[in-house]
Amino acid sequence: MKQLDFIQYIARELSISDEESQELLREFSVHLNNELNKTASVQLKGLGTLKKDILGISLDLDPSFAIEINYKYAGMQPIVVSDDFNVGIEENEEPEVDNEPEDEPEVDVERELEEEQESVVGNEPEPDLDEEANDNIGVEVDSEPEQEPEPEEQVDLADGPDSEVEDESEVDNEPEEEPEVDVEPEPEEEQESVVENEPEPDLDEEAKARIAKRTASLRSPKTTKKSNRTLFYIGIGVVFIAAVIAGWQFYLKPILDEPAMLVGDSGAEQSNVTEAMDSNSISEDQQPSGALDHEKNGLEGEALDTMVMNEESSIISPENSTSRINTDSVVSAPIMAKNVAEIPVDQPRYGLMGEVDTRANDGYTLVLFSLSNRQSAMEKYELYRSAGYRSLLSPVNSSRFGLMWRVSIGQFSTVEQALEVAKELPKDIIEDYFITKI
Amino acid sequence: MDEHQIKKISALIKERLLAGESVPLEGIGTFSRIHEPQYFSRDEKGRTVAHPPKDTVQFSPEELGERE
Repeated sequence: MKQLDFIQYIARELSISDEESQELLREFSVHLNNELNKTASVQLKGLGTLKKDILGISLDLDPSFAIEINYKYAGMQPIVVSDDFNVGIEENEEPEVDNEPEDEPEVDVERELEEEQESVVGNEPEPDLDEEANDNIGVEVDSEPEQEPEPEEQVDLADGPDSEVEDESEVDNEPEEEPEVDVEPEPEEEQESVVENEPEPDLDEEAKARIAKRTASLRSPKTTKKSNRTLFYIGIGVVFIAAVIAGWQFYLKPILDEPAMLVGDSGAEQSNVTEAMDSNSISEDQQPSGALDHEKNGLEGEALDTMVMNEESSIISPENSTSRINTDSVVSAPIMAKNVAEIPVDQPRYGLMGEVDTRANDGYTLVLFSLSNRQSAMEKYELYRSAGYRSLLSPVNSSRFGLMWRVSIGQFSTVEQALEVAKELPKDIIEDYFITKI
Repeated sequence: MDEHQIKKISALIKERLLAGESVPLEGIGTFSRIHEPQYFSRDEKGRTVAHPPKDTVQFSPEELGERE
């Protein structure tokens, strides 16, 4: 609205001339400016309070006006649409925090293991030792951890540390190898010392025993640890799977199966909605769906007034009421939905176009309007319906605005599907939409 | 300017705003209706929450407001 239009509007409403209106508005502006300069604040009843500060003049909207101006969205409260972390948040995409701690250690461990392997391979003088070591691993892993090494094993001691390192790399998935890092240099040194000592068959018994002991002490904790860890990880795996199943059964499934739970839900009351719908007794015959080509022409020029209706009033029952009450409003199931028998056989259960399918009322819809006037709601409903959309009309009982009629289009199995469709719709049709459970 | 006139003008401004129009006031600024479309967020439990569209009124002082 331009300045001149507003002057004329005031003149018309107050039955005064344009000049008088202009003068009145000028006085009004002067009054506001004076008040702002004097007290830094001026209240406009029913509208809000203008405040002046260093940053300039701002408006604190009157709470009742803030509600009034949002009458179109009466009954639309924040709803939990999904427990799925990946559900189409486009603008507010957040990284999945849960994966990070899992991924990082894995990478680190792999890297560490690779490095370990490389270093081991680099240190190994004879590749044949590997095979021997592998052979020995099987024996050693199966043997008792506290098994005292026999002197005969002395020949194998050179393989011992290697086999342990190889063993580590085979175990692979273990994320924590810290103790091994500390241990690692020792077996290598051990190996070297043993290899160096090998040519000397006259190693005294004491030294042999000491080496054997150390080797055994190095081996035994590992094998113990390995077996313990395997059990530990199996245990964790079992617990995790059980948790996932339990989570699905008791938490996710009920939420996904049932209508979306409104945030701040304070309990449900059907109260006047059914009565209101009965009194409305919508009985208009459903028109055949029109071609999509007509949709734009039909919708253009329409004010922000739309509503939908689903068929049979008899469908409406407490069981069919999809949304629970949030604070002060009750959204009921769509009315005037088609009988399943009347729906074309080849029509998919969910979709934007076609006839409203009551079986798809477990999905999501694109809410376009909430109207207090049933007649205009019906008109909108018919408009979208004749344009070929699955048009739904749901009564909303608001304690503040009374009975309102919500018009929505489409029945979608998921929020993502609804979002995809909404993106492709012409803006003049779906400028203000809200995806919600049917 | 008396209180009655102020009330009346305020009511008419409000009416135009409810009709979705902005109201310019010469010498002071413009009242505009702002629309915030639906958006999604996550609650503290990690659930996706859809927030409905919302309208509000903003006042732009004259230097920022529209003038004829």
